[in-house]
Amino acid sequence: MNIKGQILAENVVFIILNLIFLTILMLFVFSKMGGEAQLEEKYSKQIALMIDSARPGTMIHLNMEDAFEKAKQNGVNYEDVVSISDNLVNVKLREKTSQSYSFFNDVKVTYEFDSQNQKEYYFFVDKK
Amino acid sequence: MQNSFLNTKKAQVGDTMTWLVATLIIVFVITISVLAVSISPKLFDKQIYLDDKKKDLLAAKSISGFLENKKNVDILNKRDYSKFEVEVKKLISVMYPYFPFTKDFSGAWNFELYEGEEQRIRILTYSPPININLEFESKFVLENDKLRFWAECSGGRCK
Amino acid sequence: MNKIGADKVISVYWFIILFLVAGAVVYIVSEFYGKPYDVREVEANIMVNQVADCLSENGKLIELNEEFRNDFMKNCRLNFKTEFEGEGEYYLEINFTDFPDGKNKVFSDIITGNLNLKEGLLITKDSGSFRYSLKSFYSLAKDGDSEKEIVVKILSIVRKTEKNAK
Repeated sequence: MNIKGQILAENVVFIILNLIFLTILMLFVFSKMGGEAQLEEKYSKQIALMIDSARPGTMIHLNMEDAFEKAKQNGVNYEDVVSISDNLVNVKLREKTSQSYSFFNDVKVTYEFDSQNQKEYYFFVDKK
Repeated sequence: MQNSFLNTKKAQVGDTMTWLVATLIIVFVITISVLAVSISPKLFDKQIYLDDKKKDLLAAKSISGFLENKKNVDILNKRDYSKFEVEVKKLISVMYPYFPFTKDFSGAWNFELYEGEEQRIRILTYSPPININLEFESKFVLENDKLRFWAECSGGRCK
Repeated sequence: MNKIGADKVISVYWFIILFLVAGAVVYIVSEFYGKPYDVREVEANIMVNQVADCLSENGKLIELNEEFRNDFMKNCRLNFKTEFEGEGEYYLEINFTDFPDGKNKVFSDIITGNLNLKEGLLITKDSGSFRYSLKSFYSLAKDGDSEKEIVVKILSIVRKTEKNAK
């Protein structure tokens, strides 16, 4: 009876299963860390608070390079990343979902993606 | 000989004991981690503070309002420093403890007045000063007088 | 001695432990990254600053006449509408009292927003369901030909629990 070959095959299978399991776990952790959801939340809140703090006549430039990278990976146009309607800021880095946050400053906000350097969004805050 | 083999089970027991101890340690560590996350929300608190502010708007409004008051300017022009100190202390009592401090961070306002290069009034809420960071400093110059308000906070930064 | 049976039992046990550890890691990571950033206190502070800026210019209080009070929200550029239909995500209260005691009212209060939030604050100061900012400043108000020293106290409460707390 030759037992050695059987034991080796089992050990190899055992190790491979462990590695697959650990890989899946690590992928899950890293996907959560660099998540689009976190970036969407961060920028929607940041933009809303900046608008809240701004007086009419203020121009804001916001660098959103990291968000644009994610948008590009997910096939979202840069011009569609930020949208503002009434007093709600919406940031979209994925096809199907987005994050929004409202602001209390009763102003008119016009916004534009900087198509030249492709790194920033401009926001112009004006009286209603 | 066969009997002695069957009687000796130390290897089997050794293996099991290792697993038992390992399991206990793993379960203990996991329990502590999960409890820490679920029971203590402050540990993973994602509350945002703006701790890089250089000026405090309400302090600036208070101080400029105080110096707009003709009564206070007259006291200063008459060089009645003890009376002026009383008025400044009243102002500081209104300014503290509501701002610029949140409920988690304590601090206080301080004041200095110089006539030329000579210090006339110094109001320090903590003596000696608790840290050397001069937060939310406001300076005013009225002819020969220089007034300075600033905040000092525990924990290093005013938030 | 053939130990294959024992090894197979230990393998199953090993995977049980692995799943246990993985489950704990997934739970902890989800809990942390699943929690939103809580910006409500910052938001409440910004609101207090905006209102203070609206009420006071160059250290002096503006005239708090009937017209100003009736159109207070518009005059101070405030809009409490949010994406949530409910009772309201904000509460704002402004008191005007004498200086320095703060015991007597000089002008009537300005109150707007969801009153339930104020009641909630009185019951529990530190609740995850809302955050607040309470600040005061000194100002001068016109009193006939002279000026009166007053203390303006502003309380701003922000609820927005769904977006800031879990």
